[in-house]
Amino acid sequence: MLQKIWAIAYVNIYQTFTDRNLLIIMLLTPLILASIISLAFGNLSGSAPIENIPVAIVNLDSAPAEGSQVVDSSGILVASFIPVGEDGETAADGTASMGTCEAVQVEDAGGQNMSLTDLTDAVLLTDAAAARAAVDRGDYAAAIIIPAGFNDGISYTQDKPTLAPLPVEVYGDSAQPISASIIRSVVEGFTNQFLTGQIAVAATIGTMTERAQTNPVFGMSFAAAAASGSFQPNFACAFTPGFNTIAIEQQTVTGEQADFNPLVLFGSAQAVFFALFTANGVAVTIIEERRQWTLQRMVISPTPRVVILGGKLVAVFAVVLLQLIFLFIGFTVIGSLLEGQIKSVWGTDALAIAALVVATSLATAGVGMITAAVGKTAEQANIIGSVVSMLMGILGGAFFSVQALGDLEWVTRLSVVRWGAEGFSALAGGGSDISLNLVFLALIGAVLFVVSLVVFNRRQDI
Amino acid sequence: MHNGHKHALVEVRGLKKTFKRKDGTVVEAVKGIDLDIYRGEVFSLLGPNGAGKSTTISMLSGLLTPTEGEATIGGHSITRQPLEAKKLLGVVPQEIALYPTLSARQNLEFFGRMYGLSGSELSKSVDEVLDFIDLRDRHKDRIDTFSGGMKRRVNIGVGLLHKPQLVYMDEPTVGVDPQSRRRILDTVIRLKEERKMTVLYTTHLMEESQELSNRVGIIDYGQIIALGTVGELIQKVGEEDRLIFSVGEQQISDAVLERFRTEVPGITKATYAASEFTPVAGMEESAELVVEKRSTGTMRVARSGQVLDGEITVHAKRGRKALPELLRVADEMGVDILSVEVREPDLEAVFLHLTGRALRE
Repeated sequence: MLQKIWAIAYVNIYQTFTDRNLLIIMLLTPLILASIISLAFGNLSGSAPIENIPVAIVNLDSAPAEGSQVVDSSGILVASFIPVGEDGETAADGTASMGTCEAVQVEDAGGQNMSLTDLTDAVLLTDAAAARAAVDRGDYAAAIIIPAGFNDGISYTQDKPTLAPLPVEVYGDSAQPISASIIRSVVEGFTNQFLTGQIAVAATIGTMTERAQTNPVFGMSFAAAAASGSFQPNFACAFTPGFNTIAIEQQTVTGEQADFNPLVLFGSAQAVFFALFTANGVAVTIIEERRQWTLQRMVISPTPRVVILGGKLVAVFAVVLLQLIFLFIGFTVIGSLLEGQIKSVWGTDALAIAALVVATSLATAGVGMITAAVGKTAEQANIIGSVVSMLMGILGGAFFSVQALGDLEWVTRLSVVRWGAEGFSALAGGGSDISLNLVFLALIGAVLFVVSLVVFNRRQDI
Repeated sequence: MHNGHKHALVEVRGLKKTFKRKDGTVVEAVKGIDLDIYRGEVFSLLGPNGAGKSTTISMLSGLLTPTEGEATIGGHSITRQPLEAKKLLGVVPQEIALYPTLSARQNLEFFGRMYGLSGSELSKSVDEVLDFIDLRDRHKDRIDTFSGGMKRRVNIGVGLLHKPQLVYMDEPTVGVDPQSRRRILDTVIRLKEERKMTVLYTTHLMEESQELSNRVGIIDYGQIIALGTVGELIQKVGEEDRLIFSVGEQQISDAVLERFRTEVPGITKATYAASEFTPVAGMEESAELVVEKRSTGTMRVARSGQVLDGEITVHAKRGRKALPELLRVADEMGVDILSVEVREPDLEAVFLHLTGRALRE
């Protein structure tokens, strides 16, 4: 039985890999396409830093009153991009200094520290509408608009023991999605840091207030310090992201951080995207073989139907696996050529890479099988397969960064391209926890395989 | 089952297949067939297109599940022991069921594996088949580089790989040139004589059926309407020889036909038929029209209503014996006989007799 399954799989593998036109589409096209897209979005080499992203900052909030317990979070955010002293206007507008706190540092893709001011070329504007218009014109990759009342909303004080954070708007240029997503990521890091700090402050003030009520001596000292506002500078430092370096990264599903390398991101996405087409194409041969009567010839032989379909499943999986292996080796060669030295752009965890390639192949083959199973004719199955592949490719980041979708980013989770590309990006960035990606991909592959097997087996024409 | 000294390899009892159309109507493609095919014989299933031949064979080969009835191959039920039954069956479909981008050898090896062959047994079997179909020298060439006839031969070869007891061939000569057709018919004869295989052959060409078959089953509208040897079938329907006299432009009177019927022994029927010249619309007034320009430079001229080609058809129990007497009477009546054709009864005539239709209709 296994011999027959392998014989069926082998014939399909042989036919696929001896078709010159198919090889060009399967192997050369994704290599070329991903390289071009990567060039369009940045340096092909993962270690090259991204610098001087043009950013407009609009701070519609005002600095808190002198002696207030409210932290000047908006000022800290502005000062992180435009340090006091660097731009005279900043100080003149009354934005807060960072006091005694350290300057914000970020890590570049090579793991070296670089300043946020090196990463961005930020300009302070006063009009939100003008900033958005400038982004629309392409003058800036993004505009950061801090709403009025931001400081009050995010601050926890004895007078206002609640948090009501207002959203900071990041208005991104769709033509510069990578840069816009980087700025969005940085701002997200800041706001999260602010919120975390305030929760810590709330807890601390609560504890101190309780202690002051039970210890009169401490209570008097606490009241005096609060009245003089002497806590504020120290609290301000707690909110300063400089204490917890914010990296410029893609946020992975596991929360792990990965460096941004366009070749890795688009290469893996393109590889999975083209693998979807291949999977569908091989799966559709089940229907095409009926037309050329080779399927009936197999059915007439003493071979159970389930063995015939099993052979086809193995064929689809094996072809996709071989395609992905070739493409990942190809991208490694391209990356190494650009680096001038042999370098694994996919990271160094060979076992994890292998596991992810297998899981991605399984999921991709599963999608290919089910799209073929639901088509009544080969033509119909091809159309369904193409539409699904295109949708998954677009949603999965084969053509642009999925972070550009903003709040709709969850939709991308429907795409196996996203799950695969994300896992490969994480591994390339030195991460290792891709278990969620592995589980999802393997599970979706197994489920789709079983469903397509049932659908094919129930069809009278197969 | 025994029939004298014969053993049935295939036994079919009440085999029925109905299909449901999209509009809900039920079509009975096969209406309960009973049939035995004996070991070592070539059995032809003869019938026009749509008669139910392919549906019957599809059920026997496991492609379709019968609605009712049962069939066994070598004692194995096609519904309860399909894998055992299939091991005894080699199929040569009408379509070229081969992978066009694989070589002849690769195709044979692949389908050999589907029949459980492997290793040296597979290699030996493939070589034998390549020799049998006379394509050993082209075994490495891709199928899509082969001529139609060569593809047909590989198609047959695939069905023989596992040395089946029964080979089913579905109209294997459709769309092939006369030379390839002859080769395929010779292959069927060799299968029977050299390999002692049982062959189930479907065709709508009665000449093939008549040449190859030990027995013939005539199928029409999903039913076997006649079954037996060619001789038995002809005898069964009581067909006579037909003598066809070509008389050209002569007008034949009823008196000639009457003398044929009454003076020549064994004549049961004599008829005259002729085609008349009818000018095209608008040319009716023309007294004479050129209807044929001969290669010698002369012209054939005809008048409207004039007889062009006439034929006298005479039915006789023993046509060849009656021929001299018929020619004598014709001579006495002043009829010039341009040519004579004696047609002995054949399966075409049997089918015509049974259904009132020609086989190719």
